Amino acid sequence: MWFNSFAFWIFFALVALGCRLAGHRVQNRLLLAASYFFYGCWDWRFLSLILITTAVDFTAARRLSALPDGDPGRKRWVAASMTINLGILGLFKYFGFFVNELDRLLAAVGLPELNPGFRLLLPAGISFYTFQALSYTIDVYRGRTRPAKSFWDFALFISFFPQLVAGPIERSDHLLPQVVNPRPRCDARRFREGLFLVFSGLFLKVVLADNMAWLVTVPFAEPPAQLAPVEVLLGVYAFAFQIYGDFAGYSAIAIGVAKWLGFDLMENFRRPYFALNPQEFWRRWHISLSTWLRDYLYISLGGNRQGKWLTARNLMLTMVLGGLWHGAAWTFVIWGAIHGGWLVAHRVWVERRGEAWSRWLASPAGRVVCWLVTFHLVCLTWLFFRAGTLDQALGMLAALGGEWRWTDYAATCATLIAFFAGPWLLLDAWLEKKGGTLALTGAAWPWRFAVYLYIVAMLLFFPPPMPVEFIYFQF
Amino acid sequence: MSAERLILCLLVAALLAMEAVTRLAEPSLSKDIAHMHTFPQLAETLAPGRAGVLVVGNSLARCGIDPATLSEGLPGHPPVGLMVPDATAAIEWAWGYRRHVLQAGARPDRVIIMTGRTHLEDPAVVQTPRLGAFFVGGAGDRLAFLREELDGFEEKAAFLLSSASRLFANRGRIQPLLFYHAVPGYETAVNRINIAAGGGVTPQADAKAADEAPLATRSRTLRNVARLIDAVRESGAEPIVVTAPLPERWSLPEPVADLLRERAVRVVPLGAELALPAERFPDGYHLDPEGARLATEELVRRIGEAAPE
Repeated sequence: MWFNSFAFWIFFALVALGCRLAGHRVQNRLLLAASYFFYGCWDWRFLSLILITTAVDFTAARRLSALPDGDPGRKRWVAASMTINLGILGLFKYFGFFVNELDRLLAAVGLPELNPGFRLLLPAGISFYTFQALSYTIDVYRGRTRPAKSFWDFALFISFFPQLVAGPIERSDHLLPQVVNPRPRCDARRFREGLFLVFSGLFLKVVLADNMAWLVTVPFAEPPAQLAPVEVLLGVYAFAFQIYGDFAGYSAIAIGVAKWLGFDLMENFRRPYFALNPQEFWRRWHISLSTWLRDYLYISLGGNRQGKWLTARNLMLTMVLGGLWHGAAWTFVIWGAIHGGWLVAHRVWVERRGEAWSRWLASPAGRVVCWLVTFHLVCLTWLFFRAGTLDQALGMLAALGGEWRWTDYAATCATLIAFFAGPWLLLDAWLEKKGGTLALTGAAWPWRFAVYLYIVAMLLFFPPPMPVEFIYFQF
Repeated sequence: MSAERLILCLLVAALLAMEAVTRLAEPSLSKDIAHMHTFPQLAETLAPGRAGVLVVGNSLARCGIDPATLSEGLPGHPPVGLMVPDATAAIEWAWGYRRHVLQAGARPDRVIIMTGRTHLEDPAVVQTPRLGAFFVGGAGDRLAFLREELDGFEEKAAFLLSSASRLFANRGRIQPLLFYHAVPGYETAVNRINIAAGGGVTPQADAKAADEAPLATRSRTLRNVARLIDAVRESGAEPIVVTAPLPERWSLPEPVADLLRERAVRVVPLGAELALPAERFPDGYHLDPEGARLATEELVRRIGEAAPE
């Protein structure tokens, strides 16, 4: 049941109506049932995994919080939770990858391959809800969150349907209190903000991302040697907008519908392509994951408190593991490593650059250069992210060194990127200037009407040539 | 009234206005839609007692049969009606016949169904919006179509919306209309993207792929050709299946030929037996007007030969 399906909106209307009529306790039970139904529509068999995760973390948090500070049992409970959660994630997400790599290694040294003869299906959203569940147990261990009293409330915290399969990855101290305590009704402000988020999310997914997905087919399906350099470049631009539209669109709809149900989910994207450096990019892109990695991995590794070499190591490790979180493939590892290396290099450069550089970078020309460099380096990392294999990514990079010539595909690609992404970037630039994603909800209503009419017309008249699944569902 | 309610009301009003404009301007969207708008006139052209002939098919029939030659060649010069929209096959013909002939009260004497190699098979991809808007009609047929032809909630919802809204049904026509004219290199890029995507992106590409695949690799059903024959007979007409002349000679797939034999349908195999020179196929697939005249003369001759004394 995709957010951009008729079925989802009928389902949501029924759930919202039920919540409107019910009291808080009944609302929570209804939302839990709806969340399990929503997930069951993908694959009901994997509901058992969510139940296991829920039971393990509920029990671990209760048990460890019952022990006094300093008791070694606390560590054992949090370790048990992490082992089980990461064990399930590792089994379903990385088993095939590691067996393949091991088989290649065994074959290289002339030993018989393992060849298990089966493949494990990847449960939708397993990386998202596992990280959310993990953060709860760790927060309880760190004393930042009190353990949930009701199993059913905790089950809703883990499985809340708007953000279950693709985030935002919520924190227990933010979402759990909203589950446990009575929530505000959907008043005029909530409705207004939710409407903007839902409309913008649908535009980003259906119009921008899915039309870009169609364009992206050529550079990532044809042999790199056949591609003109400009085709590689424009194809990567198109993918940059596809993945942004796809994921930011999903997040916006999730936050919007949650708002209508009385929940406030965390912001997940803040116009990331306006970033001027890698650090800023990660403060704007997939914020719920980057802050999760910062709080539970980077800081746990020592953060920047142990000198520059260990800081660099921690950054690299965090980003490489962040890459691996996205999928079990070397291309994701390289993607994370490039981001890690870039963050380290940027950190060193910021420390060493002189005052003259800092003044120039603050000037309009300096900002434009920073923006161009940042955007293109992000695009370079997307090349590895999207490529099926390392060879393909390297082949496409090599193709950039070919003879620059304009082609029909390049002309179409450039025109359609401008047509689909251009108006949205203008709106994003305005939102950036106004300083907030929801700035339009404070503007005079005719402006909102004009934007919504444009979105409705684009949704109606420019559907994608082929429907595309949300990219992040596979993570 | 809050601002958001006002905005939503205005959006609904805008959609209703667009719906009205679409209904008014629909025939000018394409020649194909203009042709589909003539279907209601079939009831008059083929009224009971006029012994009319209806030609059913797609662009192969539109370019392959000359209505004037057909009418002049048959005894009594019967009126000839056409139901030959582009890129259609048995599913559109069967449901369209039920709506615009059977339910509308038209009563032709003969129905000539001109087909290509795969057009009598059920499609892999159902063109839901077009079927909803132009071919399936009447509450009973709509329910039957939902039950028998569509899988999944999304397809069914899209069908119902297309039945109710011409704006929704025609929404897919705006994009190509604009992009083919305004986007540089679009046609070449589309072909390249379709090939890169595996050739299965559009219904046309899918039909082409099916056309080229050996029959043994296809698992197509024949529900709709059976439905079409039943509907033709229910309206009191004789169905005649004509295989379209193509640059290369061809025959109906065995399962289709078996079905037609079982149901005692007369087949005129022009595709296998009428050899026309290559210059009669200017685009390599469709006949030119002279080719259509020659093919229709041959068709008339064969119908005459087989007609009961």
